[in-house]
Amino acid sequence: MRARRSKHARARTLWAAACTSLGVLAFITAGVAPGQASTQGDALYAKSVAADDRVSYSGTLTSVIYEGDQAASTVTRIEHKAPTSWRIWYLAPADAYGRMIVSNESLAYQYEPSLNRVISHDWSTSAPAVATPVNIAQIEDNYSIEVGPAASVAGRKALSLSLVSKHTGALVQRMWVDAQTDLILRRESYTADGSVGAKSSFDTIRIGVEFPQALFNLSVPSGMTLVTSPGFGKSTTDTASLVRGLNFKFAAPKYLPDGFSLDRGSVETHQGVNTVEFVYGDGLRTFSLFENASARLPRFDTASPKPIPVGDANGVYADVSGQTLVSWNAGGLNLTIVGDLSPKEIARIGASIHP
Amino acid sequence: MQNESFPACVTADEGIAKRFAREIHLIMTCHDCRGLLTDYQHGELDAATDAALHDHLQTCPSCRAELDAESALTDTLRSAFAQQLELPTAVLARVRQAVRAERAPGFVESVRALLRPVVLAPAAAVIVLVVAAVSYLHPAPSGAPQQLSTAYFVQRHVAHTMDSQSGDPAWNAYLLTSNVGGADASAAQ
Repeated sequence: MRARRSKHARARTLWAAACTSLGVLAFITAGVAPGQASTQGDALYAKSVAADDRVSYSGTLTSVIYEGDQAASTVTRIEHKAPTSWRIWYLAPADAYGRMIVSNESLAYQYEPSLNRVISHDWSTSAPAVATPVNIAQIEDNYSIEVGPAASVAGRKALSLSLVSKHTGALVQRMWVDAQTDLILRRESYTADGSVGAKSSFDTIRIGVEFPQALFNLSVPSGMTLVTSPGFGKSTTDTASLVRGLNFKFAAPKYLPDGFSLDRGSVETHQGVNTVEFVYGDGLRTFSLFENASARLPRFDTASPKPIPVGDANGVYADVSGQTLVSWNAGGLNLTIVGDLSPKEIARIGASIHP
Repeated sequence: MQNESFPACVTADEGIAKRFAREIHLIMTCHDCRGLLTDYQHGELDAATDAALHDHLQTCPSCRAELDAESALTDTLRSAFAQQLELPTAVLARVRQAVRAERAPGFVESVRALLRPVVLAPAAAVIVLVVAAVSYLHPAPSGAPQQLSTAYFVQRHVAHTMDSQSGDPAWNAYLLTSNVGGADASAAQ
């Protein structure tokens, strides 16, 4: 009897344990389900990209750009007064040492002590979205944003976010977000082969600093001359009117990578060459397609171009300042694509363009 | 009998020529001979045919008589036209003066004269040198198409995408503010 009771008791215990295990497993699984994780990631990402609209800070930021077997970097002292006031001091590289930029996200003054000049940049003309709220819908459509483990950046606790392409499954970017303020403290961008293409990280940061507004006034010190940067053309989403106004026939790509769409365009004449630019993006990555009737490949001043076939054309490509540039001539036009895509991806886009 | 007039030992070229002449001679008829008499008389036949015809004439009195008649006619015509072709000295002088006299060239002839290589080549060389010197001393005006730099394309791309979330603001600002303090910037005040 005891033996039978004992046997039944063990069976009930095993059954209860199994049910409990299944319940715990179901609870755990529900807690890390892709949909919920993505929702958490999306929410944290949305807060992080808008955090500097409400958080003032002062810090030292180091940025590194990898170009093949070489790297370039900037070291800057950043003072930011929320929502839109910025002072950026350049400590490195050597050619920028002493340069200071004061910006309100629409207009920027570049102070060059060595030239005794103040150069004005109207960045709102070329990139109007700098001063507008971030629309992350396209990013959420194309990327899974997953929350990773916590880490320490510049002495502060940070949560990591991984942005993985929903189309290719490739990790495109990781960022470390301040657990207290949601500021982005560190960021790494990855190339198509999985290597790091660029990274930036705060070495030190002090959050909640109260700056006097006068520190960010756009003024010209006595003895210095104000000059205007020529700019890069007015950006517009009315790309149809841009095409109609050209003195040559624009050829559009028939192939775009998954998730990419036409965003905006501009026309500008530089050194006598009238060039149209169309910007395509997937919310995170971008590329620009340039076309002009010069039928001349660009001059490679700092990088050595390498050959690459673009459809039937003989193209060239190089890494220039952290961007991939592919250029070729076809149908009397010069076509150049610049962006954070691989040369192979860009060549595939180029092969679908038939001037 | 005609074959025996050729030596048995000849060089290759001589053998070919003589064999050809022998064949011509063997098939030469009076009809063939009459058609060649004028050329024979003026020495315009090739050696082999000339020899074959000569042999034929030695054995054919009819063709020989035809040749004599042809020769007599030629001599008669030559002596007659020799007298008529002697133009008066005054006429010859006027003709020579007219030929030597300068006449004004027409437009087409003038152009042709300028396009002669002896004139054209040095002129082209001078033009090339002048154009090269002018291009060096005075670069093409801003309105002429030039070769853009890769830096221009990258800067313009960054300028139009600096509001994207993937970029590094400090690096982008560095790119956009590099190499703009010189000729590209225009005085605002």
